[in-house]
Amino acid sequence: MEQILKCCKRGNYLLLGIFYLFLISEASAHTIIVDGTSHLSETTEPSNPNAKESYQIAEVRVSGTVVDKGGEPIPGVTVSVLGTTIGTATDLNGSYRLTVPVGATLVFSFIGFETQNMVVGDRSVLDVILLEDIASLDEVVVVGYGTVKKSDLTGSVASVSAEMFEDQAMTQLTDMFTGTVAGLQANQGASAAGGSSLEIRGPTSLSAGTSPMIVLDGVIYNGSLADINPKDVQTIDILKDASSSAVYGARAASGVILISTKKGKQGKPVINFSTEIGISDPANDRRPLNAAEFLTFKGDYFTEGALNSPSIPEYFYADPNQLPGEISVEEWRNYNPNAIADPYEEYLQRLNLYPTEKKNALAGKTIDWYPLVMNNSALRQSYDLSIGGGTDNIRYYWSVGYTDNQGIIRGDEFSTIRSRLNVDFTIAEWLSVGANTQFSQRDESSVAANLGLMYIASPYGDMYNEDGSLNMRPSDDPSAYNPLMDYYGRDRDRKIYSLFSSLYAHVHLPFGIEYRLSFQPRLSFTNELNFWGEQTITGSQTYPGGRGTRANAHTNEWMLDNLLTWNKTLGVHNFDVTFLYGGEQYRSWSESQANQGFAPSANLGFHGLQFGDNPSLANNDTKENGDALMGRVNYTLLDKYLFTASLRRDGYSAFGRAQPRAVFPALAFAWKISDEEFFNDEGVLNRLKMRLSWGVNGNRAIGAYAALAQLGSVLDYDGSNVQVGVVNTTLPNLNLAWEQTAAINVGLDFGLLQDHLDFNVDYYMGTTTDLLMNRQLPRITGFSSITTNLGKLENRGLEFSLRSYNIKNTDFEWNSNLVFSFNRNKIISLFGDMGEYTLLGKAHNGDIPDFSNHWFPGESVDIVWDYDVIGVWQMEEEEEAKRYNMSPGDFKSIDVNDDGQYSDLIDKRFIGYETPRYHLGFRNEFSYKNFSASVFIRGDLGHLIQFNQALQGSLSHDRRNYDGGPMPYWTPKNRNNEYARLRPIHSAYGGGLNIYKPGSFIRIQDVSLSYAIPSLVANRLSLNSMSVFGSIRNLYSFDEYPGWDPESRMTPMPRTFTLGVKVSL
Amino acid sequence: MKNTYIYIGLLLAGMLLLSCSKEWLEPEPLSFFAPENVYVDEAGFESLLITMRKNLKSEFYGTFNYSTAEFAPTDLGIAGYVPDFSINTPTSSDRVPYGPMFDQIYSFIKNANVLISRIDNVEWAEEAVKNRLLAEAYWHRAYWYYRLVHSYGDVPFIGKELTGAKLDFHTHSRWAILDKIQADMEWAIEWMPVTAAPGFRQ
Repeated sequence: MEQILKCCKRGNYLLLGIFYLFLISEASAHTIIVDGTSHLSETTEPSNPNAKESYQIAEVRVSGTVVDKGGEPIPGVTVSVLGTTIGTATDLNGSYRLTVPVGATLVFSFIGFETQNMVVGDRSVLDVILLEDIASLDEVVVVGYGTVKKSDLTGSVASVSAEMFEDQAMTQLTDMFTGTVAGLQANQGASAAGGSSLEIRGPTSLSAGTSPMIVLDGVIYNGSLADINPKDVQTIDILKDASSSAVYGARAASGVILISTKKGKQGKPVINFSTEIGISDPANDRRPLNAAEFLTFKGDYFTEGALNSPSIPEYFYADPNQLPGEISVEEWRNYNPNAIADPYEEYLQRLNLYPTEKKNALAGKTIDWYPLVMNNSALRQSYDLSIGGGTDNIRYYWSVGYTDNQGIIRGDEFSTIRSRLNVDFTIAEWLSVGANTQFSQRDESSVAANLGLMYIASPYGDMYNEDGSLNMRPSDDPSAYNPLMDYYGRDRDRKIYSLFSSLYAHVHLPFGIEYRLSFQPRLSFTNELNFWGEQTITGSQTYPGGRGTRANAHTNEWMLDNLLTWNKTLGVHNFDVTFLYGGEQYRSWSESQANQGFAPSANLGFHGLQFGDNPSLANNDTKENGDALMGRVNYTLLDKYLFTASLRRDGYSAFGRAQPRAVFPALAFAWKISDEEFFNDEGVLNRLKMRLSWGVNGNRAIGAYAALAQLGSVLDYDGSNVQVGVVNTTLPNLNLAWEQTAAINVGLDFGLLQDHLDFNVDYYMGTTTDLLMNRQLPRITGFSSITTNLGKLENRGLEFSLRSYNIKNTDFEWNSNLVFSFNRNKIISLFGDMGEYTLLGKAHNGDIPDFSNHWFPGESVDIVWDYDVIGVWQMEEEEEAKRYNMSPGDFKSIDVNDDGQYSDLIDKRFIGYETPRYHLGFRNEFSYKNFSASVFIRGDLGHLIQFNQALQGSLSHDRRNYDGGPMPYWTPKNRNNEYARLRPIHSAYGGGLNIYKPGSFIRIQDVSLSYAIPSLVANRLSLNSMSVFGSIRNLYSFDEYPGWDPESRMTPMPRTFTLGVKVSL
Repeated sequence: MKNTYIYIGLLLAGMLLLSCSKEWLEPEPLSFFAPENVYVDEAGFESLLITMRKNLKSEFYGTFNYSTAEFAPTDLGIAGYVPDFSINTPTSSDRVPYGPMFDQIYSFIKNANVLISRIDNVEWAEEAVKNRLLAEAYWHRAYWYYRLVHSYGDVPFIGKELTGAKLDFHTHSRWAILDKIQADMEWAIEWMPVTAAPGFRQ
C-alpha cells in the first residue's frame, strides 16, 4: 500500500484527475443553483413561438403539479414537449402551465429523478409523480449466471452501454473498449478488420493467453468477437474482480466480459435502419524519401564511408549542381580520373545507382511509391437493418448487417455479413423457450502491399516491365522487390463462416425455483486458399511453376448448462441461490494441402492443385472435453449487508490426469453505509458503499495436449528403402494443472451532491501461482524442456471512475465520464533455481532470472533492462568514443562502472517499462435541443516503446532507399542526439543495444455530433425517429513517438471520418 | 400433477445428457502419435528400433562426426582442418563435437530406455518376439554407454524411461556401468540374430 501511495505521488496525472473532480463538483453545484432560480420565475409562454407557427397545429393548455414519491413538490423540473423546443419549469410549489400542440407528449426531467414522458391527450391537468433516479444505480447489471441491481453489487463490475456509442462508426464491439473502462486495456486495431487486444487488470500469465473470457447472452462464447455485430449489442458488463468472475472458474483468471444483445419488446414491430459511410487516411504520414532526398541520402552514406579515406575529397559525393562556391564542377569531376563527361551522370555513377535508376534519373522520371502502396481515402461502409417487436407470447429481434472496409494500406480489406435472430416463446405460464442465434460470414482475403519494401524501393525504379507485366525488382536490386508484388501476384481467398446459437427452455418450478436448460452449439468453418503465381518471388524463384495451398478448418463445439435459481425473502433476509451443472465438448478438424511446380501451366491457380509435382498434406485434429459444477449464494440482510459465496469445480481434459478437476472458491461482502441511520445523506456525500471480495480463478489455456508425451517421426534410409521410425519428443506431465490467480478487491462507491457525482474507487491485488512455464531440463534427460507449473506473479492496481451529471435543463445537458487506472505487476518467483548471478553489476544469490526473456524476480514483467542511452557521440567526443571502439554518430550510453566497456550484466539498467503506467479516458457528452455531441480524450502514459529503427542497422544503404523513411540520421554536418549515423558500429555493446522512445500519448480519439430530426417532422414522414451523425476517430494525437503511432506502433493508424443516417420506422 | 411429470422429465433429460463417465476427461490424441497408441505391439517397438539404428550413423556420417572426436585428440589422427590447435582441445566444441556428442548420446540412450521400460506393458503372445526387441534395445544402450565411459569416464547411468522432470543426476563409476552392460549383453546375446543386413535391417 505504501508503494501504491508512492506511485500516486509520482503520478501527476492522478492529481490532475482529482483536480478535475473538484472542478466538476464546483460546476455542478453552481448549476443546481442556476436551475433553481432562473427557471422559477418563468412563465407559461412557449419559449419558441416559431414552433407553433410553422406547423399550425391546434393547441391546448395544460397545467399540473410535479411531486416526488413522498408528495413533496419539486421545484425547477423541466417540462418540455417532446420533439419541440417548447418548454418551461416548475415553480416553488412544483406547478407548471404550458400551451402545447394537441397530441403532444410532455417530458418531465430533473436531475436526480427519472425522466418521465406523459401523453397529454385531452387532459388539461396533468399531475406527475417523479421517481427518484437512483440513476445508474438501479440499472440492472449482468453478472455471471444472473443479474443484480447495480446498487447490490459486491464485486467490481463495469458496465458499458452500447447506446453511448451509437453515433460512432464501429466495426467490432471492442471499439467500445478502447480507453473507456478503468482496468480494461484495449488498443485499437489499425487494420481494416479492426478489433483490439484486451487485457483486464494486467497480465496474469507469462506464457498462456491473457484475453478475457466472453459470455454472450448468459452463455460462454468461445467464438470470435468479430462475429458479433456491435449494432446488436445492448450492454456490456465487465467482471473485473476475482469473486464475480469466479463463477466461471477455470478460465476466468483474466476477467470476464458479458455481452447482452438486443431483445424484442412487446408492441408493434420497430424497424431500424442505419447506414454509415466513412473515409480513412493515415493519422500520420510517413513517406519514403523522394528522388532528391534519396540522392542526398546516398551521398551522405558514401561520404561517411569515406571520412577517413584521404583519396576521397569531402565533396566527392556531392551534387555537382550544389557545390560550394570554391569548388568548380570541373574540379569536382576531376576527383575521379576516369570520370564520365556529363557531371550529372558521373554523380549518379559515384552514388552507385543501378542501370535502371540511372536511366530514369537521366530521363527525369521518378516514381512516388507512397500513394501506390497507401490507400488514401480508404472507403468504409456499413448498413444495418433490424426488426424487433412482440406479442404477449412471442418476442423477437432480427437483424442483418453488412460491413465493407478498406484499410489504409492498399489491399487491406475486410467485409462481413452478420445476422442475429433472438426469439422467445411463452408456451405456458410455467414454460418459455427460445433461441439466441447468430450467423456470420467474414471475408479476410486481403493481401496488403508491403510497407517495408515501400521504404527501400528506389524513387527511380520502374513499376512495370516493357511488356506491361509487373516489375518484380523495380530498381534492379536483387532483393528490393516490388512492394505491390504480392498485392498483384498472390491469389488469396479466406472466408470464415460461423454459427452460434443458444437454445433454451425456462421453467418455473414449484416453491419459486427457476430452472433453465440451455444448449449451445457453435460451428465455424474456415476456408483458406492461396496461390503464388509467376508475379511473385514465391511462385517464380522459390517454387518455380507456382505454389498453392488449400486449408480447411472445421470447429464443432457444444455446451450444455443446467441452471437452477431460487430467490426468497424471509423478513429481513433475502436469499438468492444459483446452482449450475454443465458439460462441453470442443472439436476442431483441420486439414491442409499444398503443391508446387505446376505443369503445363499455373493457370488453374488454387483450383487445380493436383497438377503440381510435389503434393503434401497435413491434418491436425484436436478434441477437448470439460464439465462444470457451480453453486452460489447471495444473502442480503436488511438490504444493507450483502454477502456472496460461490464455489465452482471445473474438469478439463487438457489437465494432467493426476488432477483433471480444479476447485475455485470466492467470497464477497458489501455494506451500504449510507443506508445506516447514523449516516446523513443530506450532506455533500449522500451515498456510500463499501465492497470487499476475494476469489480464486484459473487459466486453462494451456493447449489441449500439453500434458501428454508426443512422438515425432524419423526417416532413415537403409540403402534401399526409406524407413519411418519414431522418437519421443516431449515428456508427459501427469501433474500439469491450470494457472491459478487468487485476488482481493476493495472498492468504495460514493454518491456526491445528491448523486450528481458518481465516484468509484477499486484497489485490487492478485497473485498468480503455478505459472505455466517451459522448464529447462538437463540435456542428459534427452529432452530440452518440459511444460510445467512454476513461478508466481503479482498484479496490483487502482481504478477510479467518475460519472458526473453536470448540467441538465430544458435544452441543454452535459455529462462527463472520467476513468483512470494503473496496474503494477511483479514477478515473485520464476523457476525456483537458486544460485548466484550478476545483475546491475552486483552479485546476487537467489532465484535466477530468465535473462533471455528479461524476467527478473522482484521486477515487473514488462521492465526494460537495457543500456541507458544518453545520446549520440558528437564530433567533439571523438576521443572518448574511441575508448569504446566507437566513432561520432554512434550511440552513447552510461558506462556505469566507467571501465571503458559496455557489458550487459554490469551496465544494463532498469530504464523503464514497456506497458503504459497510467491509463486515462475522459468523455464528455453534450446535448442541446436536438443536437448531441461527444468528445472522448484518451491517454496512455509513462511507458517506453522499442524503436530499433534508430540504430540504422541496415546494411543495404549503398544499394537501396533509406529503410527509415522520414527518420533523421546523424551526419557530421547535420547532427542530432537521437539517431545514429548511417554506418554505425555498436559491437561494443555486449548483449546488443536497443533504443527506446517515449510511448506516452494523449489523443482526441472520438468526436461525434448528431442531429435528431424533430419528431413532428419525422411523424410527417411516417417515421418514429430519424437522425444524422458525423464522427471522427483519431482526430489528433499528442505524442513524441517517431513511428507511425504510439498505439499501433510501426503500422499506420487510420483517421476515419464517418457520416451516418439512422431511421426508425 | 401432470406438470410435475414434465418438470421431472426435463430435469432428467438435462442431467442424462451429461451422464458422468470416467473417460470424459481423458485426453484423446488425434493427429499425433503418443506412446499410448504406438508402443502397443511389435510394429510400434520396431519403429523405435529404426530410430535407434539410425542413431548409430552419427558415429561415422556427417561432417565432424563422433569418430572425429574419438581420433582428433590422439596420435592416431589429426584434425587437419586448421592449424588452430585450440579447436582440438576437448573444451572446445567449435569443430569437433566433444560436447554435443555427450548430450546426443544420452538422447539415443533415452530411445533404448523407452523400449526397455515399456516392453512389459504389452502382453506378448510369443516371448521370443519380446526378447528379440528387448535384446536389440539392450545392445544399443550398451553400445552408447560403452562409448560414453571410454570418452568421458564416470558418467550418470540412466536405466529407465524418465516420465517427468528430473533435475538431480549423479555419476556412476565407469566399472559399475561396464559390469551392468556386460550383464545385459550376456542375456541379450541369446536373442540377437546371428547376421544383420546393412543398415542393421533384419
